[in-house]
Amino acid sequence: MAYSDKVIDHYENPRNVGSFSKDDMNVGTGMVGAPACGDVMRLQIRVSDEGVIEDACFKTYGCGSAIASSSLVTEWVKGKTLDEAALIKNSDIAAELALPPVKIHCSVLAEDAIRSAITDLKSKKEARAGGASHGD
Amino acid sequence: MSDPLQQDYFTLFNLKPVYRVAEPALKAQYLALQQQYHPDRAVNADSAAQTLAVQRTAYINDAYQTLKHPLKRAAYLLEQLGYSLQSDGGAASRVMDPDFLLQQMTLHEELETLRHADNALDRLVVFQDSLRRDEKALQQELLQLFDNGSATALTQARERVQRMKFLQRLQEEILELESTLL
Repeated sequence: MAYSDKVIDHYENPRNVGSFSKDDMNVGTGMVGAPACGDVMRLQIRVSDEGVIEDACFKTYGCGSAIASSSLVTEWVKGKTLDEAALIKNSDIAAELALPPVKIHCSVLAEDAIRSAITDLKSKKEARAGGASHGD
Repeated sequence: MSDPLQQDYFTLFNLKPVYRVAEPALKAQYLALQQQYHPDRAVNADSAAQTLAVQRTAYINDAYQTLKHPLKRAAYLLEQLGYSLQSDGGAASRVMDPDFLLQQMTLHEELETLRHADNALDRLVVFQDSLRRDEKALQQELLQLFDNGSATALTQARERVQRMKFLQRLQEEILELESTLL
């Protein structure tokens, strides 16, 4: 199967590979996996106090399409608000990378990862807000 | 005698659709089927019959490879029982337990560090042994869940099969790494 030039570019030069501290209050971590192929993906976002995503990183153990999908998403989410980032669709990722039908699930995985990171961050903030109001 | 191509793997091999299979009986039935449908028997027939013979043999081979392999057999049986692994489009990330995924991520990272270690091969063996123990434990759970057979148990069995696919992926990476180290 031939990968598109964009997939190859992200695969050979993945953007934003790495990790943030999970315990950082401004960091949201999304962890997803695809049982069909055994791929695992971790996507993290760091958000400013104003709710804008300042930085993002990922680590993916999977095929070229899965790596490219997560690499692309880390580029896309930077500068977006959480609500804007939640609007990213797997179909946008698949279209940008020209993924063939058998690799669509890789873009689904990346969409799930960003959503899961956002959910993680929001639940952290809510937990802190609850704890803080109790303390006041 | 009905056409092999029309039968599910268990029926084809004269087996009840259960997870526990007796290896010797499976192999004996495979050899009998191979003999019965061998393409050599169609060597003087017309080309349509020859094509059919090849298709049947391929199907019998697929069936045998599936039933023989614990993980493939489990996935196939779940499919037959209506617990498809693909029911969620293949991604199924939402159903995965976060702790399990974190553990998988850690194992992958460990394997990556190992690649550059001095005593890589020795540590690889230890890593592989521990993975095999996890696989064995999951297989034991699978046997019990299939024996139980309730809807809850089969849903759990499907989740165990998914976990095993992640472990299998790690095993494949170990083999790859091994071949670069040797």
